[in-house]
Amino acid sequence: MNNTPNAPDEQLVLSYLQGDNEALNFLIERYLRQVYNFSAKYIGSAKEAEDLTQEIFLRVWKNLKKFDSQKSFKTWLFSITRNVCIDYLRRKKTVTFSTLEGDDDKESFSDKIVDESFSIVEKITRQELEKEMGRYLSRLSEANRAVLILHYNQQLAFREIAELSGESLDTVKSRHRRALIYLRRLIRQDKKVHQK
Amino acid sequence: MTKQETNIKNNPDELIASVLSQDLEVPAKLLTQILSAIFWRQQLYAGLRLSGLALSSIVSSLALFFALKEVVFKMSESGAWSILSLVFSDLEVVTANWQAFSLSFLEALPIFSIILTTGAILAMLVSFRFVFRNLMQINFRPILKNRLLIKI
Repeated sequence: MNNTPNAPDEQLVLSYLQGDNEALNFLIERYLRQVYNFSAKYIGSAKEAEDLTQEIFLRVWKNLKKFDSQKSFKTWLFSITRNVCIDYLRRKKTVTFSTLEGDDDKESFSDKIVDESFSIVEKITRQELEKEMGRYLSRLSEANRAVLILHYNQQLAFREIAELSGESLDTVKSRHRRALIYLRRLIRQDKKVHQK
Repeated sequence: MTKQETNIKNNPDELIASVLSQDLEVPAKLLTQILSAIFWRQQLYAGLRLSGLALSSIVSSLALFFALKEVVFKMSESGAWSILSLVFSDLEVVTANWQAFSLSFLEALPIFSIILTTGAILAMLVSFRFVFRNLMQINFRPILKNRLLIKI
């Protein structure tokens, strides 16, 4: 099969399985940036994301035979990416501040907050937010963080996120809403501290 | 306040989304690292498969040798060779009584040993086929190049 870098994902997978190694190179090149960015934002470390990205693509390569070509390759890839990142964080046993946000299954404090606008004088510049975003993200629960990154950084639709995480569409939407509310709350708290 | 600075009070979600959508620069060597990691694993797995298959080829060849030996022994024990030799000594009698000849010959054949031999032949052929296929998959050039580099 004659492949070009622009061939669809599923065709590249099929070509690789038929013995065309170059097809795998095209696939990796296509998704390297996205996988690296997701990992870096999810685990909060660009340096460690390098090793993790390598591990993710190795796992993709090993499991390529199991890929169902009827489904989206991108969704499949990100389900692996998410799982590898979760495994990594579990291995590392990082103490996250996700408990502050509350258990996912229970109604958390942030759920009770109405989407309020800020009453105190609080302005945050883009530069400030860029600097602090990693810290804010690390305080979200892993599942909520994944939804935010997949939706905004990887431009995945909620339906695709639901598919790859094995959750219902409503749960994903709820995670998204709660994560945004919690982020706003964190920013607001930070601004209060700075103002004092 | 510059244009880039956004007031989160007005549109916090948009700013959060915009910051989240920013991409980090991928390290230049990462792609090469990933491709070479996959390449070396491909070589390693092909090598391991090759070793296993080579071993199974040897085992099946040995099994074939003993199975053939057993067939020859059982055939002489059951008198199948003697019946078969009639074809060369008394062909006319054999052709005249070909039904009785065939039946006697079939009865004298060591069926179990023949089945074992056929199995051993098949196992050997399959092993050879996979060994050959794995040999085709292994790219020896980079391995040799690497060995040379280590020597230097």
